[in-house]
Amino acid sequence: MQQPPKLPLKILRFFCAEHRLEEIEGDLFEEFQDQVQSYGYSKARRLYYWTVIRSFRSYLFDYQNNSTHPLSFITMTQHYLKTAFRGMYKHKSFTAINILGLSLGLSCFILLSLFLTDVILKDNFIPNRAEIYRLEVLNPLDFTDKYEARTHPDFVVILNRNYPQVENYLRINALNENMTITVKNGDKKEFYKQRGIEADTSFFSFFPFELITGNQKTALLEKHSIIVSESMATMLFGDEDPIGKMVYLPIREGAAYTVSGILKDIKQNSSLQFDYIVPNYIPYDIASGAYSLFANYLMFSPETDIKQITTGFNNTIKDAGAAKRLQNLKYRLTKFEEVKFDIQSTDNVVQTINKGTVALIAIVALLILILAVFNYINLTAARALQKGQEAGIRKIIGAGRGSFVFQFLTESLIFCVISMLISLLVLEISLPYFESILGTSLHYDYKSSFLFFLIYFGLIVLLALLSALYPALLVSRFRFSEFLKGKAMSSTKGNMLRKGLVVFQFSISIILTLGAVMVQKQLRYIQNETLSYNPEQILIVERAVSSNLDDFKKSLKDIPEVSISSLTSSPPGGENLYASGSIAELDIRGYYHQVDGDYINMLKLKITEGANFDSKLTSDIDQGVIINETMANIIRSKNPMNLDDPLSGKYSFLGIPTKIRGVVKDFHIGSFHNEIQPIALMYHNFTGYSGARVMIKVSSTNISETLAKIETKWNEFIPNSKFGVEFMDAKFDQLYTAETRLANIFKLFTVIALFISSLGLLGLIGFITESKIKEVGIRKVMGASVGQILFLFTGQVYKLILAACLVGVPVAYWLINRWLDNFAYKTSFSFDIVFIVVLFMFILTSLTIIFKSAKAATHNPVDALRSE
Amino acid sequence: MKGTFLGEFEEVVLLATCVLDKNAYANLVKDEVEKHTDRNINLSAIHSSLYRLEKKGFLSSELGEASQKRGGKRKRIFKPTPYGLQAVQQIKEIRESLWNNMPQTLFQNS
Repeated sequence: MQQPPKLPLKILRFFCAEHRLEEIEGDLFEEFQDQVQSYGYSKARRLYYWTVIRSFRSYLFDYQNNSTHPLSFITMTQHYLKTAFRGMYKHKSFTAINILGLSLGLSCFILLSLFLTDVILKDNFIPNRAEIYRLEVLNPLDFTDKYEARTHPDFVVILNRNYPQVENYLRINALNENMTITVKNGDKKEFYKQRGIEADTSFFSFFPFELITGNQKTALLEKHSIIVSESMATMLFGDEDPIGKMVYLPIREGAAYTVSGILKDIKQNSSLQFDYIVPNYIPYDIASGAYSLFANYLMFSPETDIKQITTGFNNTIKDAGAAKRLQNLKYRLTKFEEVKFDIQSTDNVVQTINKGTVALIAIVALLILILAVFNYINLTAARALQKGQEAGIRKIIGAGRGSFVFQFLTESLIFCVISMLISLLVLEISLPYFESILGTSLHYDYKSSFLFFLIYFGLIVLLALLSALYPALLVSRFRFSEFLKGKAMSSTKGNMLRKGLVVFQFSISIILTLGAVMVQKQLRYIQNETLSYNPEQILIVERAVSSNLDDFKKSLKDIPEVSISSLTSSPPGGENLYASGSIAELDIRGYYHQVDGDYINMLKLKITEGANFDSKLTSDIDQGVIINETMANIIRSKNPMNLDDPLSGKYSFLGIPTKIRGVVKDFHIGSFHNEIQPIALMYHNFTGYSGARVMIKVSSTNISETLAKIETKWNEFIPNSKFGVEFMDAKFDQLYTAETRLANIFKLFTVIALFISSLGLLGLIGFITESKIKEVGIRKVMGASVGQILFLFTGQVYKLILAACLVGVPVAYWLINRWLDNFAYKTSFSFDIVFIVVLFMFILTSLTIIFKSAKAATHNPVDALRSE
Repeated sequence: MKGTFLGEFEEVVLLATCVLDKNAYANLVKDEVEKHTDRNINLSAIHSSLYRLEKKGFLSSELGEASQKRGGKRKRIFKPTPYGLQAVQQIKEIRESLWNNMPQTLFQNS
């Protein structure tokens, strides 16, 4: 007798329900014998395979209840699914609270994670990024420990010549963004402003940005060539072919540049953002002590010992004949991958990201996730005990710990997967809103990333597993008799942990709330409290170079809405500096700003000693300088000439001994992150060919009309430069965009965190009231008032909130103070704020409790008691 | 009542089981159905129908004896329940009453 093939038989034996296996196997065997006789062995064999395949129908999987078949859990799963959905439907409010909390938490977490992913994946498109380093120097004579990221551009050329490990070098520099770009369209001149950089021809071997037309190797070879981005080309030339067109830039004596290539628009995931490139022009070598600053990048061969290599740099540079002041410097190489996180030493090309902010966002993301998960676990555990009788009966039938875990896992998975789907929907809807809060758009395309969904789903399964474990273990700890007697609900088992979770949740809420309030307070402090002038009224016209600047300023007097105007190198609100240099007698670095006679009046700076500039004196030297208090204090304490009045001496401001005309009270010209520097204001009348910005104070409500008048004047006097204007408060705000964003993020997520915590509390109170319904009934029968009943519930929760405050406030205090250390000028952590936040917490929880337990308190006690 | 509906194939299988009278098991039912309908049927389809009919209460079953031809495995023998017999009878009556009312002219032309 022929035997049927073994493989399909094995498959059949594995899948088939035990009680059906014998007859089905027999039937198949008999049929096989018949077919061997009628068709021969090989066809019968084929038919046998086919029949087994066709046998995968429901009857094959009809496992019986006492089945020990490995696949029999399918039957149980069906059962669990059914009970889970029934439970969800029956307790609609619980289901809604649970899913709402979880999906909200997940959405926030995913949203923030996506943005963090963007930061992590930034610059990933640069293939050699691990071998690129930035050369940074520190001059010990400069009275600072901050390495300069921009240095003399000849260093890297010499290093490239002398060290075989150096494969290539690149010097880049950002051009002034406000520089006017001119294009001639027939007779008409058109003005534009774009972000430009100048770079060596090696640029594209460092950073391989894609060119649509043009050759990466040759496009920058010609001295007067320019590569423009796709969108800039469209802006400048419309639909015409830009290649070979002329662009005029006011650098290198106003030269014309020929478009030699078109750059594909740079995407968000690059730390370098610019619209056009021109080739470097460096007309001096290492022997020259005067130079302009460049960011210098080196590419090393992969096995180079970076720590070791810098030690020889000093001698190499000296041997190359460096100017005296370029000798004895300290050198440092910073990995390109870290450059974007370095907010201390920055060049002007690579955009930096504050690592602290990134870490803070990551912490917030994690906190929200933890909050949501704890919320979920807590509610699920409470629910699990609530349906104790069901669990009791399961136990009697013989359910073990494993089957409880499995039941809760099924339930958890349903909740988690539903929440996941909702969170993806929320993500899709809220992404644009969130992008505007963060001020960046998301580059990472999560929708087409399989990995994203895989990781997210993995996270969900992990979450479901974790949150199922606790309630399952809790339930399996009870004896079934306890369940059936209804003891489980009022039991204290697991109470500690549940309360612990609530305390933890509210601690997080308190930390976030305090964080949000303090970030806001610091911002307001920056914006309002220390500026002597009202920045909302002051316009700043972008820098222009002309010999008519003073005439323009004088002509502004004709406009009635303009109350005062001033020409200066340095309007407040940015790092605008005329010059800085060491003052020999004082051994410090001084910061110089060019101002005209109206500067001090305009900004309402208070002169504490001496007098304002006198516009009758024309010689800048005769005017002397006006210094700020910081500088005055240094002079007084050092008093290098041993004078009775140290301020009466002459000191070499900008290298020339100059007398001090007056002292002004310290004022903020730059970011609050930095301390006020020793400043000297130097008089300049701007009558010759010079560059300056114009500050204009306007008193009108009709800003656009006033602006139009000013622009007409501008075009009359300074026709070669584009008129660009900004309010000073906007300029100040730009200094704090990171902080403003942080404040917005905090606000949003604090609200969400509070909402989730309140949801958790709501669920928990619901559970407590239900388990105490009889107690409440008896108390009411004995004569307790509604207020007393409410106190029964609130008393418990207040204890938890108090504990949460004791945990949350010190942690918040510590965290916020660390953040405030970023600022040289900061508000303090005041306890009235803590008090208000704590009070707010109590009010919020009270409302939550009253909302949920009022029903229990006002209930007719008969309804509660009659069931026994 | 839900689940008492008899499909066309189920009806044929049920009738074949009745015809085989106490000997009906899957292979024989299959041969019988193939003989009468001139169709090629997979054994799994017969299994599926038999088990479903049993669940619906038209058939009952018990295990029969093993034989060498079956590799020493016992067979499951199906027989119609009274409810099953009643069902086939009902179907027959419905069809017959319909046939009785069939207009004579319909088949004469063809």
